[in-house]
Amino acid sequence: MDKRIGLGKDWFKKQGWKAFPFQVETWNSYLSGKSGLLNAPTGSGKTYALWIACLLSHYTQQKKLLSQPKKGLKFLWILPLRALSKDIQSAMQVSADDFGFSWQIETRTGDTSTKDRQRQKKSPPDCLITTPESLHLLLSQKNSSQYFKNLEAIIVDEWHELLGSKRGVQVELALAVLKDLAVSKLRIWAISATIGNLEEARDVLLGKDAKEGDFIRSDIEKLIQIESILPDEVENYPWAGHLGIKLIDKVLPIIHQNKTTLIFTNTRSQTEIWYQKLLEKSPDLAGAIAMHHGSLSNHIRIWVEEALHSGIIKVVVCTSSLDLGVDFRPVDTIIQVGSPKGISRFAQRAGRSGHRPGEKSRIYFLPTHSLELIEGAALRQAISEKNFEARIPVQKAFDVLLQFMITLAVGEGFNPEKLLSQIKSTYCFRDITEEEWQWILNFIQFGGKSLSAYDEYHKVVQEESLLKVVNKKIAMRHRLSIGTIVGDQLLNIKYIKGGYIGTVEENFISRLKPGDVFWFSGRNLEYVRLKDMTVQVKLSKKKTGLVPKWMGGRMPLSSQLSFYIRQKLDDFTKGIIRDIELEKISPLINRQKKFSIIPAQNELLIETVSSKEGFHIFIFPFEGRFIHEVLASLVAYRISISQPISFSIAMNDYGLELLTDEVIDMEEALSLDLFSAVNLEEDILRGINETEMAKRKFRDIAAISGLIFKGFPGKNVKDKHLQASSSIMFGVFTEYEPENLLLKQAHEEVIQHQLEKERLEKAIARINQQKIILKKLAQPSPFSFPIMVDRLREKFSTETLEERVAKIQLQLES
Amino acid sequence: MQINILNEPFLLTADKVVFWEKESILFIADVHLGKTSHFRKAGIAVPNELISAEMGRIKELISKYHPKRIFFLGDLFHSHINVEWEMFKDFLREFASIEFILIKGNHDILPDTNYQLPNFKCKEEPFLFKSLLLSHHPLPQEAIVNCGNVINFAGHVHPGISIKGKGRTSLNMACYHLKQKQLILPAFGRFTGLTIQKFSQNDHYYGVTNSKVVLVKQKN
Repeated sequence: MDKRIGLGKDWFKKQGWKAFPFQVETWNSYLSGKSGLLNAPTGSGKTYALWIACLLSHYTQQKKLLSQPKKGLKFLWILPLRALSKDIQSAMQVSADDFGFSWQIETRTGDTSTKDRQRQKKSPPDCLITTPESLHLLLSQKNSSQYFKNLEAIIVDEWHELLGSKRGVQVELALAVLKDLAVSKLRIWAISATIGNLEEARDVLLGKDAKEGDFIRSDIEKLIQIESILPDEVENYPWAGHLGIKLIDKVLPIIHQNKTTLIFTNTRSQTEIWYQKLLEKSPDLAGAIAMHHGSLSNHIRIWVEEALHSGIIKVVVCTSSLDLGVDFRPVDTIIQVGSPKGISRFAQRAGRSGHRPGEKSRIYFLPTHSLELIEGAALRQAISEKNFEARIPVQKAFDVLLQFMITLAVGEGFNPEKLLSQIKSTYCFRDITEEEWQWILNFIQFGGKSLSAYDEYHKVVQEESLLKVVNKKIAMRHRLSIGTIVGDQLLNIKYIKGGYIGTVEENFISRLKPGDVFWFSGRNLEYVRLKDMTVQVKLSKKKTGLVPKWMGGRMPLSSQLSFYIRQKLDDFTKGIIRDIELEKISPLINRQKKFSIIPAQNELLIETVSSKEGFHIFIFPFEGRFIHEVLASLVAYRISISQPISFSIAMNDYGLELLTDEVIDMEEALSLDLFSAVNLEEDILRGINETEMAKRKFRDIAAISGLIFKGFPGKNVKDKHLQASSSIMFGVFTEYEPENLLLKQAHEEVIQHQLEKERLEKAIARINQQKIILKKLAQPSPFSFPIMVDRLREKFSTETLEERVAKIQLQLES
Repeated sequence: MQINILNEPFLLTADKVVFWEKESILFIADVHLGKTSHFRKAGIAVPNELISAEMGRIKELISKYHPKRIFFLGDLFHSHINVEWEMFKDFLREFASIEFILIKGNHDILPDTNYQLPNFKCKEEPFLFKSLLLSHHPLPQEAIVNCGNVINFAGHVHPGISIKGKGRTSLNMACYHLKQKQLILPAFGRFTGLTIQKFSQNDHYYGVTNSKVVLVKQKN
């Protein structure tokens, strides 16, 4: 054993703690120069497992401080959320001081002031805590090779949060370049909560060096107690909906009986509504209730976080913005409103309570409609069986690569051959082809095919062996748009007299007229005017207001969770009712049985209903929203082969609906083998080309790769003339440059993420084993009703525009 | 589709241009040339082919309708001077026998000196031509009435309509919007969006599909 370990153990003793075996194991591994992945839950001391190792590495075997420590930045600590950085910074600073280092440990995030950034640029701290976006910004500086020269280690915290997203790719790319910038061999570590594919998580982190990496698992068991909040009468409880407000009377006692409660909702608008209703029902909560979501201004969020720490607050209504690891000790109870959509997310939220090692986590599940009760039972079983979702790493994200290359070109420039070998060392781009690489180089230098000799395109130019951005405007614009989280255009909300409140999506404001009142940040605000990308408002006394609808929050049910839901339904058909939730929901299930059936594991239920709106076909695969969307297009396409027809499509996590204007003979349609696995991909691609999925994916890709420029709220007026809609771009590329890699990426993303190809194939295989039960109903069943009222619809059509126009017979939207 | 305006037949084409056969004149609104180069200059990689493609569309119109004169109802060139303008000048020289007249719009920001070509004229709005009052911005009713028995042809709006069918099907398309004494043309350029019009009982809407123009009526 490394002698320095003793120093670490001593320090733990002084704090009155005892080092866990996994911490010691991590120290050992780190000190022997290894990289790797540490799997440990939040609140288990994972930070110290790595940070103490970093400190110990600056001691000699004789337990003396290294005599000639290098100057400059030594450690990078990467976090998915800036909110986490403050906590970790203070914990790290305290221990570094204890160990006798006079090190600067600083944070660098989107919130860091320009002054501090300048200072950090001139004299780098010893350890920098940052986000993937801010790290890329550092790489866009002119002195980056000097800056990162003495780097010793990079620790990626909460790696599971980054892994399945393009931000993970940002990390991969930065790591690949930093490995070469650092003079000595970098140690690279990640800390991850339990997910279904930990080994892969390590391989993605380390890229081509994956084999040398260690894998350390903490043996700390986290106990989670799950209880559902049950409606009194399941039949009177809504069959559809997403708010769950009706159960508010059962929530209040929970809040009052416990110290501090976090109420997680799935969307920001839900958060606003719950906050408002809780205050209405229980005015005594005033001053002890707060909300937290991504659109609120920073200082409100920071205030809430601090209040949570000090325990002066009793309840916080929040979105996923509070999902991640900050340690709020007083929190002892969690309430999840509506489906958490995945087992990991539910477990993670539960873990926000009882945050210290050895403590139990407590979570309540509040169903927003009756059927959702099944999920309570499903979640309990899933968590007891520890069946967590995998985070599938993103492959060949060319948009992120393009952005990264411009980032480097804005900085010191890059040598194409060298960069290619770095890129090939990442997991994401390990299979990049020569052809793709050439296309990318061509794209950033000449903007794709160049027609004329006197074309004005020159984003990146060659200077000796380096490719660089020389145009200052382009460089500035690029720095403003680094990042991969693309939302709708955001507008600032401010009082007329000044005072920033938060941000709201443009498409919400565009539906308002001056004088309209809306709820935001717990206040009733009157919309006065839109000026310079700022929404000016004043406080209003009007009672009822709209609640802004933010995009997002349309996550699909994970395949693991869907599996357990199907199993619970199967239990019903066999008469096995073990859980209290299932007992409760029995009347509704019996009603479904009376109208139609409850499908067993080996059955696929299809219901048809005629209504004023047209002919509805409901299919219930219980596979989650995304898969249903694809299945809907597939079935729509296959029906349409024999007759030109238009459908509108709706779905929820349990089933899907096809709505059309003419009655379809379903028996005949089913004889077409609608779910056949033959020609699956071709048929789907034909189906989705029509449904514009790729266009939607392209929206993000275009923004990330710099094709469309959104700027930042308030800062983008000057560049208004550069704004173009991504759908026009999409059309232009499809017509003039079909070989465009970004366009291909949009289609590929649809196949991989939206269609979830692997999951879809499994679902299709399963459906083909199932017996189809077709029910013609006079009115929608409890299963189909929630889908029918879902207004988020897709279109599918194989009719030509002319045919559709003729058919619609010009019924105008007035 | 042919419609009669002031007892004259005009052709509303699926090419999003109006053709006055008797006078052999084409009316084109909101071409928005120059946007491609504008974007490329800023380092945004819009395909370069788009430039020649947009001019190619005008060439096709010329070989289809053989006009003697073409009126651009504003927003012809959406940028400061760039390569595309030079290409457009080449294009004008190629069709020296046709007279081109631009009614200036809000995006036509090039100084007048750039417009000095033998077969190309530039006019401020409104411009009266026979019984047609041509403008970029749709003129207010009083202004049209003041000019006597005329009709206003205008662009700027990029009109579109949204139609709805059973089973919640709906679709958007560009349209010609015919009002009292006013015809608003759809935007010709492809780098443009649509402004969906609220349906008014007094007006007529001619939707443009891929190959046809259809009169859109409200179902009772």
